[in-house]
Amino acid sequence: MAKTILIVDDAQTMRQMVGFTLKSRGYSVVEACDGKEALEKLKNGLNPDMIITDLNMPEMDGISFIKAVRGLTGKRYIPILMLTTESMEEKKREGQAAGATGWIVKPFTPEQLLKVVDMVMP
Amino acid sequence: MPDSFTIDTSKIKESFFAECEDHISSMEGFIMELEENPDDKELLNALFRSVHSIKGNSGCLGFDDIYSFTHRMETVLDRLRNGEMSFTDELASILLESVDCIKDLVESAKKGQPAPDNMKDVLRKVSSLPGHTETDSTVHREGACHKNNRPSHPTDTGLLRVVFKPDQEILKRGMDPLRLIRKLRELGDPISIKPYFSRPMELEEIDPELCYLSWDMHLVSKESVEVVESVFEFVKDRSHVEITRLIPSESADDGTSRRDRRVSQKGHGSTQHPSVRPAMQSHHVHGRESSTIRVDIDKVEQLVNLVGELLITQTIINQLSSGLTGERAGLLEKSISQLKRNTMAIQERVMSIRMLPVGNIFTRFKRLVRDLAAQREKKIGLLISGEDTELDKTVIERLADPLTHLLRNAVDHGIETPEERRNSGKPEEGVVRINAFHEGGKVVITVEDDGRGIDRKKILHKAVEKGLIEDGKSIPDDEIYELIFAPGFSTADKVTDVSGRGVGMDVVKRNMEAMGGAVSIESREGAFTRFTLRLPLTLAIIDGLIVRVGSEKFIIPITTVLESKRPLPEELKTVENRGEVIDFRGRFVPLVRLHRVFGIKPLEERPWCALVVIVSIDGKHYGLLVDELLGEQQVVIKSMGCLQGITGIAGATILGDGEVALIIDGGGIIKRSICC
Repeated sequence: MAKTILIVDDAQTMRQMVGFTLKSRGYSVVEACDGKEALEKLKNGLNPDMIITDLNMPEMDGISFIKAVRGLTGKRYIPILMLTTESMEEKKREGQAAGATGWIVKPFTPEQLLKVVDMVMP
Repeated sequence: MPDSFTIDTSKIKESFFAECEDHISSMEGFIMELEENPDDKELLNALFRSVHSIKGNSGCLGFDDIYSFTHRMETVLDRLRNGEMSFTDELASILLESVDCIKDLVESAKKGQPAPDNMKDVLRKVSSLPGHTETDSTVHREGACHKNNRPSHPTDTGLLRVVFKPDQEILKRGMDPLRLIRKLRELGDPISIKPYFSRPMELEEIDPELCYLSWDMHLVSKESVEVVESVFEFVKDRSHVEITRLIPSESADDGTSRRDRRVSQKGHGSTQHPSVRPAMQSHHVHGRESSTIRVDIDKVEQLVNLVGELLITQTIINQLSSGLTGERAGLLEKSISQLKRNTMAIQERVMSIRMLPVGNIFTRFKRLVRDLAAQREKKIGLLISGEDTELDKTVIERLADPLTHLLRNAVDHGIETPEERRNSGKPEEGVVRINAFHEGGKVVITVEDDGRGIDRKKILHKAVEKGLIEDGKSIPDDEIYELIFAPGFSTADKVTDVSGRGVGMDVVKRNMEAMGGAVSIESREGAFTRFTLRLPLTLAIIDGLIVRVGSEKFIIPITTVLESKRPLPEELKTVENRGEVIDFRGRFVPLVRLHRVFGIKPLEERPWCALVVIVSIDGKHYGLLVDELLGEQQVVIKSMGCLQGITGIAGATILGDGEVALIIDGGGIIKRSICC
């Protein structure tokens, strides 16, 4: 069965870009516009193999979202990749402390994305 | 994974443009609301998010203009967020102008047109905001998280030891350590994997959510240490990861010799693999240790000297062992040759600690010139040569500023606009050239442009105006050019943001002089301007030609050598007032007898029985008479301590066989020979 990846980003472009790339590799993709929506989906039974989340989002930002997932029974060990920008070394650390598994630095190429996904996909 | 991978981006671009429009209109709203409520953090965050989102997406889609513009805007907003500046009416209007500019940029991107002109004006305004430093003006996009994405050069198979002690919380971050171990299997063949418990414990004490395991592996792999290390990219900050190359391969050694990373030697006696030789290199990544360390240059100096001594001792041992026979002699010979290789390797590494190719700073100038040229609407190509010329790190660092000034001048004042160039019969594209090389015992860096040259009259006029010289006095060219270095001197008609403030050139001169160097100018009006920086060689490594004069060996810097010849007796002449000369390709060049300069008894006084090395010093040719050529070698210039400053000697070096040789300073030799 295809592995499912949940993409959380308020920017449609980014969701599409990541989604296209992942789908081309046979992953099944679910999108959410912010942490709040993603968390709802997870609570309502969505069980992805991995989550890719942006950090800067309205409603619920990435860091709080990661923390929330790590406290969610049954979903606590899902690998989470965060999308950061190069200028955010501090964010990287903060994200890791919150429980992020890894990160992808924007801007990235499809190959780079796939490589990182492959690195943490269970 | 295939090497190249493309997806159709047209749809994504479409939605990007649509999204930008949304962001742009909401950004306008946010800014105007902020005018009313400048302290509203939420508004500011929302504005930041919009800019940030456009920036991230434009970067991924390759819209570099949008990316760099939004990056700068983001910087301003970030300062605002951190309370480093406050929201003023002026700022609001600049921000609104910026939004307009993004709008235009997006429109241009949509149509596939270049960035609109007004972008630069707005950028200038953004850059002129307090605290916005000039370095922000060039935005460098880092190559994402994949510093290890570069192709790994093929290496011979080697044996690596990988010690991996995950932090206990690793599972809680969704990382399965077994996943990493499986990844390692993709990189090589694990010949042993030993798991360890971090401590013996009772079953009931075990927390199932923590990781108590660690692993010690031996991996037969063709990959470099860096590639193997990249597997641990996401965990190395918190876990203990140690990768050691146990059996090195030659090529793998090369791959790691220039690394900045801390190298430590750590042996774990209890877990040592039986077939394993002592660790050669160990890449120890742990916690948040810094990947570079600062070391006092004196310590490196001492190390250089010690290595020199080591080399000598090794040569002596080598010679002593040469006559031995018997069962053990063979073993000894092997060990000595191993020792020799290691000593050489140590020497190389120690040297490389201090030396960096000057090209390291040249590369950043490509961007500088490109951006400046674009800003000035000029067409300029930057040619770089001699980037492999090695220079002491501290010298390189201090070179960056002067070179930046010179390049800015070349772009701003030197190269004409495409129209002007066309009118004066030049190709539209101007050329700025940076070159580095060794000459006359110095490292020389030239910055040259084929632009309009220096306007003598303008300088004279300005100098008279500033009261630097008297009117009507005739002054030679080089003195006129020298005026450019006077503090506060600028002939630029109008001050631009890159040059023309007259603060550049005197700083260049001061910087160079502080390093014991010099700067000079050559120029022809309408043709070129060339700045020549000369730096002392005392800290550099050079390629040298080893020559013998009598019983002494000397090193002639190879960059000064044109050729060597054994002259025919009729090619030698004695000219009045010029002394001995020798025919070199139809021209007579002065013959300098090195034995006479240094007061040594030569093996041969007749040039046609000895050898003459033709050298170029400060653009003039000379023939140096030597007894014999012994070969070429890269030599390290060592300070001569209290003997420093002898005319004609740039320094000394220790040759591979332990002998000391003096390095000839061409310019000094000529001076001395005139006195002889």
